[in-house]
Amino acid sequence: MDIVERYIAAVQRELPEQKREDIGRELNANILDKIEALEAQKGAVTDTEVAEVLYEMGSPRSVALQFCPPTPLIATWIMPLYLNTLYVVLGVLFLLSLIGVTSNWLSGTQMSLLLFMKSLASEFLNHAYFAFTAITIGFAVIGRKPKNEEPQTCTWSPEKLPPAGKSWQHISLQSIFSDLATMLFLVMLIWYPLWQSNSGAQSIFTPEVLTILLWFTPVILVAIAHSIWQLRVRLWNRTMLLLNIAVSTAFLLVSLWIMLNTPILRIYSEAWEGAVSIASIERSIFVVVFVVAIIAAYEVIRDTRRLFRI
Amino acid sequence: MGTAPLHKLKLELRRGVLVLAVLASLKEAHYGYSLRQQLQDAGVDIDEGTLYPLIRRLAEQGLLDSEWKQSEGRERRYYQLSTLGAELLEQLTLEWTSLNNAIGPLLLGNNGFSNNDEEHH
Repeated sequence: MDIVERYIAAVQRELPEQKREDIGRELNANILDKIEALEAQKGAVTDTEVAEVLYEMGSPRSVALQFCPPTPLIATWIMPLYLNTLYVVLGVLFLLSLIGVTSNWLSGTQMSLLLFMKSLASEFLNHAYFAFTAITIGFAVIGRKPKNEEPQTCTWSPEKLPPAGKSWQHISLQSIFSDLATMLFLVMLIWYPLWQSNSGAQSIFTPEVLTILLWFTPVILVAIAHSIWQLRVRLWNRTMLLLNIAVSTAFLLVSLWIMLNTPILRIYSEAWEGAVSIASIERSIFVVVFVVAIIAAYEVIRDTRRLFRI
Repeated sequence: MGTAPLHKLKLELRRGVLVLAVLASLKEAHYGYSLRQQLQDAGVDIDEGTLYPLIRRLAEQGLLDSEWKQSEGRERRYYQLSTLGAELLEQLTLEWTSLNNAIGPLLLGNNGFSNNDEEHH
């Protein structure tokens, strides 16, 4: 029967090469049995009735999937480690891209924020594509091991588990990397033009704001060290909360001081000529600093409350 | 309860039981279609899309032996319980009986708690 042959050929096309012949042969026998049973009931069957039998069995792709269910690219037992590796590697790559692009941006003649964002996205994605592909292929290969060869990674003991704590005590990687990226960006923004003054890099801050930011740098370095500590511990404790309250308070005070000492940035009017007014740029920068102050104030209140609950 | 969760739970409940039913039916040799008929006659309705891949998987795991035979003018693949399959069926049957004995009273609501409660009162 031509229609049955065509159906089996369509199923075989969806199957892996080494299983095509065997499954096709068996499927053919099963279909012929079904048709034979129908003939025993009704007498000779028409092509339409055979087509109905095939339709009931399901589309060739769904039948092929029933015989050979797809295996996930990354095996389930290795998925948590895969996701963790991706987060860490992509986070580190983002930080490296940020450092590279910020140094180029600050030493460049054009101070376009849009160009900076575009360069950062492009630099990060260039590295991220490669990292993502390499990590995925690596884990796909590791996951192909037969199940009995799975490494026994569960060398743990209940006694060594961290305290149960509250749900907020767990620090996410995303939060750590976004803090690290912000702090590194700030350090580069403050210090790069001073280190690389002979390359033509100029500070974007007014001298008054730059002076206070230079004095503020140790606090930013403490915040960076704190983030690195969080990477190791991943659980808020009293010392970490106290440190975070101190850092956030310092950020709040500096933000307030900067807001009272406008202008904040040295704006090169010729670069923005015709695009936006200087007043609107200053207003936008003021809003940004205000938002930073609000976030810092929120973190002070949040961490103080947590300190009493821990 | 909606039909979708009920359908999903029924599938989950049937999944393991179907393996037991198939293994038990294959104490005698059967080809795919005849096995399905036998299960249906016994009151176990199983979809072809589930049964045929299932018996292939069980054969790949070494629980069934299979052989192509000529029958009524054409070839059919016959499956039968292997030695390993027979051993496993015996253990699974014990497990099934034990579960059935434990769950039966629970489903009937006669789990002993009510008697204890009455004693406390």
